[in-house]
Amino acid sequence: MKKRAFVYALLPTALCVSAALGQQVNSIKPDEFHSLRKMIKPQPGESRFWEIPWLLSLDEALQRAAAQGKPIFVWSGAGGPPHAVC
Amino acid sequence: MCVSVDSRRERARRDQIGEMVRKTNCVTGTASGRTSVITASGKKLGDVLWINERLRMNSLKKILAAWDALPEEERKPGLKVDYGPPDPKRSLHRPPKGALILAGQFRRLMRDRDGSLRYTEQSDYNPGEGQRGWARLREPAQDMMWIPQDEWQAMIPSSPQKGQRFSAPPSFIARLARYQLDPERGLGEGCTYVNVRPKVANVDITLEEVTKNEMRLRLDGKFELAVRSPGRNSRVIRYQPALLGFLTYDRRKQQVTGFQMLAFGPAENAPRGVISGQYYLGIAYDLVTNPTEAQLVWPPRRAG
Repeated sequence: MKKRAFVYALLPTALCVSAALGQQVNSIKPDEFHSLRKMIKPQPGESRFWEIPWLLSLDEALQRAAAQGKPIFVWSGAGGPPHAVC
Repeated sequence: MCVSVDSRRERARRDQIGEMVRKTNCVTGTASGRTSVITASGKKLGDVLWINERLRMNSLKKILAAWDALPEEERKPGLKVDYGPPDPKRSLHRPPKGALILAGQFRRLMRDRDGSLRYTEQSDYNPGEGQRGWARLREPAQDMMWIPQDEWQAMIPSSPQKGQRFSAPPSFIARLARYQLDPERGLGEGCTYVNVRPKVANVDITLEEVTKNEMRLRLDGKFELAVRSPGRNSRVIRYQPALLGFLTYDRRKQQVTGFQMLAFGPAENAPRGVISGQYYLGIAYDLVTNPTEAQLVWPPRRAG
């Protein structure tokens, strides 16, 4: 039910950017600019890990955790900080 | 306290934090990633498992119990920790002085038979990673873009006249083609087009409006990017977007105050084989004027 409501909520956006764009896209018309961008950007409930105030420095995390008396959640990836890669 | 780190940097550093990392194994040694919980004094409390919900909750409960079992002086605020000086050869990448920082969103889309665009569904994805991760793959992926000062300044005409048109700097076009229009974003660390030889790659800039205080520039571009993926099931990874962007420049402050770009077009054979055949890829970039720490993350393989 939730999924269906989500799809219906998206329909107006999907439809308004639809007909004008053919298979090949030689240019983007200014009136398509905002509707396409809106469709691309995170919708409610998406990309939630970006809501977390990630630090990038383990050095800083160790100092802050010590000062605040908190444990440290470390997310690591081999190609860069994973909140921006995967 | 959450920290997102490049394990290659943390494992390679020659300092006390590097020693702690190698001793506790709290960052991954492989490309698959890892989530661990440690203390400020450098003890590992455990790994957070992601195989399924039951294992995840169990691992978190164990970590919490390990935290509660620590002596109070290790848990209370104000603990003094001293890891000595950091390895000067392994400092974090930071944006070059004067660089513009843009945040990018990458979304794979599909067309219905009537031509309308829609979000991807489970049935659009191939078996394996595509089926396992379809819900995540449906969401937009993120990336950052750094535009060095000399590069964005080359887009600002010194003797502006409304309607004048010129090509964007070659370094900017190459940056887009090789890195920032990469359909691999959100799938992993790879750079699909790092060695691409584009069939088409152009961006023209038009000065749409100019006043005493402001210039408004429009970017129109077109790219045709294709490489053949390596391996036994080699396929052509293709992306043919059009690009439209708007840049606002404050002439008094000599600053870019607004920059939005959109790339959109057909793509073929998603990297890592998650989609076969045609789909559509939309990429939206926005200027970030007050970046959070997380938004200062360096664009992979192109920090310079």
